[in-house]
Amino acid sequence: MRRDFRYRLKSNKFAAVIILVVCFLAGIAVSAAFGVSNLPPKDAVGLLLSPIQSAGAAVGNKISDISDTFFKYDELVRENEALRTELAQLRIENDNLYYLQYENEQLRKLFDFSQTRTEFSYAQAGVVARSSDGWSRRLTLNRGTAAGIAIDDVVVTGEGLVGIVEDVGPNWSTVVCVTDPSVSVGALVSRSGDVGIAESSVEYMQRGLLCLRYLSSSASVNRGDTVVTSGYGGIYPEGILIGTVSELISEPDDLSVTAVITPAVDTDEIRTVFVITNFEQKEISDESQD
Amino acid sequence: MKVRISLYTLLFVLLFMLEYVMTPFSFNGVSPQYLLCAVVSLAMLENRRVSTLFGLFAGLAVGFCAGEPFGVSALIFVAIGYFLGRFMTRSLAASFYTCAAVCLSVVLVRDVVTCLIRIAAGSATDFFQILYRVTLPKLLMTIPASLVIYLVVFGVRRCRLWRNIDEEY
Repeated sequence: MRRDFRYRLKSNKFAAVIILVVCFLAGIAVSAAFGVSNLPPKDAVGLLLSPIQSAGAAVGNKISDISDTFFKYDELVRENEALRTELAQLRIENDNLYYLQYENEQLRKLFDFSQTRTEFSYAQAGVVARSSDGWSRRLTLNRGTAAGIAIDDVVVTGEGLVGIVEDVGPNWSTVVCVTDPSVSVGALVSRSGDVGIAESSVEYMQRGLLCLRYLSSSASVNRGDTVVTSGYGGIYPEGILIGTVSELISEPDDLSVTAVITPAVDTDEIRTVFVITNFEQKEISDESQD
Repeated sequence: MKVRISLYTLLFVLLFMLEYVMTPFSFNGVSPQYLLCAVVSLAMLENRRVSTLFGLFAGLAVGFCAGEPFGVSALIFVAIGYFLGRFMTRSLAASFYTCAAVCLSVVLVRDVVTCLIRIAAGSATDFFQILYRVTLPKLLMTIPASLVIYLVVFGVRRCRLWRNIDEEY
């Protein structure tokens, strides 16, 4: 037995094993004694093994995926359907939230507007149809006489003037917008107080604009000036924003200036409007005209 | 016939929504004249009673939304539905090209007349500029619309399925 041990000791292989064991034990001892875990040999092993591990994991995952395709197909289909349903519901909720946010903004603007014009009462209405023939700008609203709306009531949003009620039924009304060629509004430039008539033509309407006509050539109007209703004529209450001046055109006769106005309200986009239901229009009598 | 009438009612509602409520294909506030295309297609492919009735309702709806004097569009659409239907059976062959040509002619004539009235009333000045900005997009958008609507009406008219359903119920 002793002879056998000596023989093995002489063998190189056995010596190598013993050396390795001693090295490992030394490494364990050093790690335990000094709290060092990443010894250089360990790093070297990790460096060599990591690519092999990655490749093995990739192959394993692929195999797992393939087996899942066969064994979990029904479960995946159910999960997919459930996720699709959830996504659709979330989209609907998201759309509702966007609409509520929009409505909230509109109501907030109306609230701000109504705080400055407390003398009016308002009826809220939704835009349900728009003219699309290119010859007029009219809106159909989903509220009518039942909500207190009458012909010639003024229609606004929080941003400014929309138009005037042209026709009304029990649960509908049609509004002719300020950009329609058939509408004329008494207007003034709020900075300088210059007075004119805001009206449109088919050409201006197509560009979504209207113009302030009959301004005297000495009028002090600049680009960016805001234009509001003057209240003259008695149809529109004074001080409602119409738009801002975007261009000035001198008339050929040099006696007057025309200001092109960009309306404050984009009538192609609005979905909710407010109808002023208690504004009493003043009839212009012949005597007062004289 | 009952099924076909129901389908035409559905078509009417859908086209009205497309033309005045949703307006997905709109340029400068101008949409294709879907309802006009439907009246023309029906006049070509259906009997006069259907096309005239469709023309009446379509005309009333168009007049309501366009804010024009009551009955103008209704009269025009009824006339198209009745006379085109009568004329078709005698000399004109029903085809997509005829349908598109009639739709474009009606749009063009109507817009030219409207433009002249507007210029006379002082609410417009430049005849060609207006035709370029209003009528041209309307014509260009009405061509594909007339093709689609003609094919839909053709499908509803010729499909045997409705006959079977009518016979069953």
